[in-house]
Amino acid sequence: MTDMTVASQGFSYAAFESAAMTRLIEDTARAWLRSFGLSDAQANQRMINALREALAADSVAAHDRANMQDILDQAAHDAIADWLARVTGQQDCYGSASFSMLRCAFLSANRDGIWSSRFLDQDSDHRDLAMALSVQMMLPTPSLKACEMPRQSLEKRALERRAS
Amino acid sequence: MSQISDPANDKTQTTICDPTVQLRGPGVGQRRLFLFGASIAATAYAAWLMADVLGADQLTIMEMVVVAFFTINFAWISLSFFTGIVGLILRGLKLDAITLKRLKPIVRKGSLRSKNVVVIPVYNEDPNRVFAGLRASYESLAETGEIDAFDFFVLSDTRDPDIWIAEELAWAKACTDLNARGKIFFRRRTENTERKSGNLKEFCETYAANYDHMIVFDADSVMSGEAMVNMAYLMENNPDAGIIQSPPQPTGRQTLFARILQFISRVHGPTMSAGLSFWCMGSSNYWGHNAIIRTKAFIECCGLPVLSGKPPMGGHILSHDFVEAAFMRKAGWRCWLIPQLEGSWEELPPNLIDFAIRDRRWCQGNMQHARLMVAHGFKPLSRLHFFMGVMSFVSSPLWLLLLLSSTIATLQNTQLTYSFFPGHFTMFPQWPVDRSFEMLVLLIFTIGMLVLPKIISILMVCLGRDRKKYGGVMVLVSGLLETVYSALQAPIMMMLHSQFVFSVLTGNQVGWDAQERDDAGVPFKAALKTHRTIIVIGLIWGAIAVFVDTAFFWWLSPILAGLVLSPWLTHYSSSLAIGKLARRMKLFLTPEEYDSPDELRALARIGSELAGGDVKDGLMRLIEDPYANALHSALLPVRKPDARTTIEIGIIYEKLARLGIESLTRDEKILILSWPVKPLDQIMAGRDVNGP
Repeated sequence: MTDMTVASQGFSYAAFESAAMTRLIEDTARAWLRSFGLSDAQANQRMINALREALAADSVAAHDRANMQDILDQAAHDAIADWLARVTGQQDCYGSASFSMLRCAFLSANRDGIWSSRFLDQDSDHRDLAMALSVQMMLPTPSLKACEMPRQSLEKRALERRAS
Repeated sequence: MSQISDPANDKTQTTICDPTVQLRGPGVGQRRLFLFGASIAATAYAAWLMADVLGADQLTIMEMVVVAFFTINFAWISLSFFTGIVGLILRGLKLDAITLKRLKPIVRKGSLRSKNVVVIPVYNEDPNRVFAGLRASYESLAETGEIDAFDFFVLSDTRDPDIWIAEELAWAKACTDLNARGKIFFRRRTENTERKSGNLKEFCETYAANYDHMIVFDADSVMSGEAMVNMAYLMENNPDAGIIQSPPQPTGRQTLFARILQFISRVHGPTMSAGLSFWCMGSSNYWGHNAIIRTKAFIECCGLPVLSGKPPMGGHILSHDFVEAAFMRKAGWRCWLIPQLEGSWEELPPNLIDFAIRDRRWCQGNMQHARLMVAHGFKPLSRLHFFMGVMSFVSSPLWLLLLLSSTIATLQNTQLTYSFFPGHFTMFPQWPVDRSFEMLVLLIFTIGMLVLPKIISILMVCLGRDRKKYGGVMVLVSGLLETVYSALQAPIMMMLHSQFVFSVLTGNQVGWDAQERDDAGVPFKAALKTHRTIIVIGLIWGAIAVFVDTAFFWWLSPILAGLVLSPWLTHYSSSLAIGKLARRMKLFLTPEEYDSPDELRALARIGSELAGGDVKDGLMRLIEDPYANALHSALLPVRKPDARTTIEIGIIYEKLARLGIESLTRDEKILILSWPVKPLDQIMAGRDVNGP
C-alpha cells in the first residue's frame, strides 16, 4: 500500500485504501498502459499515482457511485489526455476519436520503446515526442464539406415545378 | 439549394484551355446518320431476305413470328457490326475517333491546376487486393510528379466484421508504407443504403466538395498515373465535360476462361471503343468505374431518384452508371469515351459461373432501365444507351424465341403436304420453290455480321507491329479457338440470360455480394449441377429436331452442342492449369502478359507482399492488439450508445467472456465493433482467465 499524502487535504490517502482497491488501481493502471503498448515501471508508477490523486480528490463522491472501475477508467483517460494535451499542445485530446488517434500515433512512434519512460512524465521537455507523434498521426478523412445531393425526378410535373 | 451550374457558362471556362486536347469533332449528325442508316438498311435487307426464304411457298403465322424475332435480333447485331466496322477503319487509319485527326499522345502543358480524388467504393472485398490496386496506382501517380493534385479515398460499405478490421489495418499500413498520411483516406458507412450509388452519394454529401474531379475505381481497378493525370488534364481543358470514361482492359486472371476473354477484349475491345466513341461523341456512356467525373456537376444533377413500385423493377436504381450519365447529359454536361486512354485495367470473373452471377446482378439493374427509356427529359442517345443495356440481356430470350419459333415452324412444315394444284383450276402444277441458295446467303450474311469485325481485328493485330505481344502468329490460332469457344458459350449464356430476364420479370431479386476475384475453378459436379436444366433442354430439343428433320438437327447442332457440353465447357475453361498451359503455348497472350506494365508488376508485387495479411478474427485482433484497437476506435464515428444498445453490448461482452469469440454471431460482432472495443483484460475483469 502506498503512503501518499495528499497535501492539499492534509491527510494520508493510504489510510483509506483497502487491499482490494490497491489491486483495482494497479490492474487499471496496467490495463491502460497495455493499451499504449507499455510495461515500463516508471510509467506504471506515474499512472498509479495519477489514479490515486484522482480518487483522493474525488473520494467522497466516489463512495456513492456504483462502479469504481468506471471512475478509475475515467481518471486514467483524463490523466493521459491531460498529458497528451501538454505534449502536443492540442486541446482536443479528450474526445474519443482524437484520443484514440493519439494513442495510435504513440503506439506507432513507440514501436521500439524509446518513449516508454516519458509516458505521463509531466516535467520533461516533450518537443521531440510531439514531433514524433505528429509524424505518426493518422488522418482518416479530410475536412468535412457538407452539401446536399438532391434526388432527381423523373416526373414531368416535378421537373416543370423545378424549372419555374 | 445552390444555383445549378450551367456547363455552357461555367466559370471555369474563363480559364485558357489547351486547344490540342479539346474534345470536339466534325459531323456528329452525319456520323449517327451513317451508323443508324446503315444498320437500318442492313436489317431491312436481312428481314426481306428472311421473309423471301421462308415465304417462298407462302408465309405461315409461325414463319411471320420467326421473321419478326429475326429482324429484332438482326438490328441488334447490325448496330454492333457497323460500330465495329467504323472502329476498324479508325484503327486502321490511326485516327482519333472524336477529332478524326491523326492520333497523337496527350502532351500536357504545365502542371495540373485541379484537385482530384480517386474514390474506391468497396463492399466485403478482399482488402489485400483493394489496397494492392490502390498502392500500385498511388506509386505510379507519384512517379508523374503530380501526386499533390490527388488524394485517395476508400469508401467502405463492408458488413463482414473480419474484412472491416482488415480494411482499417490495410489502410493504416498503406498510409505508413507510402508515407501518405493525409493523402489516403478511409471511411466506413454505418448504414449501407442504396448500395454503391448510396456509398458515393454519402461521399458526395460529406467530402467530395473538397475536390474538382473524382476518379471512380472499382475494387479491382488499377490505373497508371499517366492515365489519371491525363484524365484530369482533359477535364481541366474541357469545362463542359461531366464524365470522361477510359476503356478499362481486363487483365490479371489466369484461368482459361478469363484469359480467352482478356485476349479478345484486348484485340477487339479497342475496335468497339473507337466505333462507340465515333458515333456517341459527347453523349457516351459511363461504365461505373475507371472514369473521371466533375464533382460539382455530379452532386448537382446525379442524385438518383427512387423508382415507384417494388424491386426488382422499382425501388432504388441498381445499375447507377448509365443513369448518372443520362442525368449528366440531361443537365447539358458532356460524357466522353476516350479509346486511346491507356493504362486503365480491371479484372474479370475467373469462370463462367461467376461471370453468370455478375450478369444476374447486372441483368436486374439493366432491366430497371426499361422504365427509364420512356422517362421524361432524357436525351435520345441516353435512351438508346438504356435500350442497349436492356437489349444486352433481352436479346437472349429473343434469340431463344427465334430458335423455338423456327423449330415449331419447321415442325409445322413437315406436317404439311405440298399441294401442286392449289385452290383454283389450272393446267400447270405449282412447283415447290428452292430457296437453299438464298438461305445460304442469309446464313453467311448473319454470321459475317457477327464475326467479321472480330476477325478483322485479329488480322490487324496479326499484321501489326505489336503481333509479338499477342503471341506472334499464334494470335490466329487464339482467334480461331476464341471463335469456337464463344460459339459454344453463346447458347449457354442465351439460356442463362433468358432465365435471368424471366426471373427479374417475375419479381425475383438477387442480393449484393462481392465478386469472386481469385482464380477459382469450378468442380465438374458443381458445373453439372448448375447446368443440369440446360443439358436436359438441349437433349430434348435435339431429339425433337431429329424427329422433325435431320437437316434441321444439323442446322441447330452448334446450339445444341453448347447446351449439352455446358458442364464440360464450364469446368475445363475454369482450369488454372489449362490457362497457364495456354500461356506457355503463347495462346490468348495479351501485351500485359507479354511485357507487364509497371503498375501491374507493382500490383503483383504488392499483392504477394500483402498475401499473408490475415482477414480472420478481426474482433480478436482488436482485443489483443492495442494498435488495432486504437485505430479502430479512432475510425469510429463520434457518438454515444443509447441505453438499450449499452445493455445489448454488455450482454454480448458477457457472452464473449463466458463462451469465447466463436460463440458470437456476425451481427453480434458487428454491434460490438460499432463501438470502441474493450481490451482483453477489461473483458475478463473479475474472471479467472485460465478457468474452465
